[in-house]
Amino acid sequence: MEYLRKIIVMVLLVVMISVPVYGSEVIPTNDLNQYIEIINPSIEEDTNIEVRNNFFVSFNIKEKADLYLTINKIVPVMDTIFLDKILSNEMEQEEFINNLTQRVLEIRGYVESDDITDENKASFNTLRNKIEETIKEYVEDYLEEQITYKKYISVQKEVEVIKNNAGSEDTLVLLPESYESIRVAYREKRSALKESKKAYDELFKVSVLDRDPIQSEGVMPYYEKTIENIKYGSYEMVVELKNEDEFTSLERFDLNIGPRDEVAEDVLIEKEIKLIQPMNLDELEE
Amino acid sequence: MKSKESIKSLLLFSLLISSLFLTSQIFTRIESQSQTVNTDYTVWKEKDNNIEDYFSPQSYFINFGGSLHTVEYNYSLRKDIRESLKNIFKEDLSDDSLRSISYSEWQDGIKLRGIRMALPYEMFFHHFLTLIKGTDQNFESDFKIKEIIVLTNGRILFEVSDGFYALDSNSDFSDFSKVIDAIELSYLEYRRLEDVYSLKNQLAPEAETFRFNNHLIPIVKISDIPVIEVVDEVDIQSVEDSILLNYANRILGKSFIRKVIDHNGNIIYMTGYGEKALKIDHDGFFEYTAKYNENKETLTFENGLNRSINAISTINNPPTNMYLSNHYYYEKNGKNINRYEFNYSYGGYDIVLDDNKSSAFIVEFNGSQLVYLKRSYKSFVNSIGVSNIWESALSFNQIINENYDVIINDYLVAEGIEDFTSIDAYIYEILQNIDSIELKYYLMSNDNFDHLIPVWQLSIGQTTYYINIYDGEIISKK
Repeated sequence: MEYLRKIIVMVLLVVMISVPVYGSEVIPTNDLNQYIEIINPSIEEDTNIEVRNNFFVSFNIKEKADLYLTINKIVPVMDTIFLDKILSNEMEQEEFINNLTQRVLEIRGYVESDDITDENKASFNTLRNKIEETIKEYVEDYLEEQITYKKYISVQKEVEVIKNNAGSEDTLVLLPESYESIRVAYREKRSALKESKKAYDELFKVSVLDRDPIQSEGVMPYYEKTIENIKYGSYEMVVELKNEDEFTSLERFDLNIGPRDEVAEDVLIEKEIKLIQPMNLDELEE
Repeated sequence: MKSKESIKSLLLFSLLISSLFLTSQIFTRIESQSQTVNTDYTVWKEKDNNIEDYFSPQSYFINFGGSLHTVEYNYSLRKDIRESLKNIFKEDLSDDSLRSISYSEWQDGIKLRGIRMALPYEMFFHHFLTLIKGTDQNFESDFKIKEIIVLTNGRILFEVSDGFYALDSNSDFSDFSKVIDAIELSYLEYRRLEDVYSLKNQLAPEAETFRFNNHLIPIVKISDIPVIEVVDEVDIQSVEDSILLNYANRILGKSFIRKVIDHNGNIIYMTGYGEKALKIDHDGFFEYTAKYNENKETLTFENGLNRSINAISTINNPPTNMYLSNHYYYEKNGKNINRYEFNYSYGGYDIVLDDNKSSAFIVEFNGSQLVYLKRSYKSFVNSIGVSNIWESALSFNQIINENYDVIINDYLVAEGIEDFTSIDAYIYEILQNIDSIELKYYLMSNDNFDHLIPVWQLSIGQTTYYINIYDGEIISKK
């Protein structure tokens, strides 16, 4: 009997040990490090990538999987100053949306021409409408968020005053219901803006490399890609895993590409330009 | 009876006169031959050459800072680099000028802005200084330099046979920096093998003393390196005898005696009983040999180099891009032979002879006696563009993939490994064992044409491969 018990315990132990080992093999993970080691660009220290002419990507493939690499250039858009102008009624919302739609079409390489076919014209118009709709949605959400934000800030100040006068730390007790509704409204607007901004940001991404299969050739367990004569600026690099026609993003990297000592400086200058940029959308440069 | 005696006397007298005449002729000939032996090299050109012009590192690895590199092949820029070194090494150096450094300090230097130069052979430090300054230099230690890194921050690092040294210089580096700036305007980007393949991580992630593979490979496509059509410097089949005779006169003097055509059709001119000989072969290559004299005179490095250049020039002018590729001493027939070797290049790419034998030009001295000269040179005819056949050269990955079966087989045999079951697993080891990778021109000869083919000279372990950069075919290995 004692002998049988020992055997049962041993079998149970073996089964318990095997379950996680077996499980790790059959359950696909979303851990990028399981599949590849990113050798270039070196992103251990920071996201400023030292590049003069060529952006070089090399991965060591540790485990074969249906992986894809996408690299997008993120075109800087200096929109805040114009949106603030709309808020202060110094600029028409329609004018801004039209100009920006045109700009997005340009950076994506679409040019309206008289000699295009009706079919192409229809698809161009569909695309244009879609872009316009995305921008419009974002602009409206932005403006609403800004309005509720201002209300929310003023509520915050009032609450501070009440709190100081009452000498209590419990602001929720003191908060009148109307104030609470403003706070909730602001949170809702902010989350709506966050959603529309995702689609809006996608408009300013120009594909440099579109879902390139991450595969090794022959015996060399490496994937390599050189993008020659790359323009300096902000980029995103996305590694996706394809599973039954669905792409899952495993990792996304924001990169600033430029000469070593100038990358950080470029970013600062870009931020300054946003503040001093005149109100002419035609001057928006990549 | 009396008249019979008179005839006998006359005959004897005439015999005496003839014997005296013939004996005198023999003495005259011997005297003439001994004069030839004593004036061994009076027929050679005698000129003071600028020996600095015949110095060139084997490789010029430019670092623009961090991991950005290129390999410079342009002849004119290479010359500018060498010129700028003259200023840097102007000051007198002694043993105290150098300090020993660690491997990690050397590695740090590789990542800084500067130029790393692999010398064509392990060169004595004083010979290196002699070649830079143009006159014989002395240096206490007998360091042999493998590689030099000259940094724009004023530091010079040396990899020598048994370690690493640094020299903090107060010299003017401005010309040197300007050359790097000029190269930076337009270049093909290369990366270190370690930077591309992260070999330490694959082979020994925890190792504290890992030797990084610093050889460079291009990360962009290489194109537009043409095939070069060349011809024999002299075509013994078609050239007039008087021209060949002229070469023989220049090398052997006027006293050569015999012309021999050997079973291969090569032409050999000889003096006396083969004391000196000049062979001109089917490839138009020249080979001069002389019997060794008792010669105890010694040549300085500079003097030997100068005389070597003169010897090569006696046949024809040397190519403008000829450089000293090797120098050493060795024992032969009980004599200490002093050997100088030279190579040359087209478009900045060194030429490898199709038999892989040795350098294109060789000169040997026994003491001060010039005993051997080889000149294996082909003249440029035509440059053949290949863009209509191949868009670009294969990538390094493709080169390895195409030839992995051959490479792995050679590697396992050389390492004595008999387990051929998991050959793919050796890939990291093979990449780590790459000793050199250089673009060169390989001389391929056939019956009708000689061509210089652009190749990768790839050394892995004990084997060197010459691989066509466009189709990845191994042309030759040794």
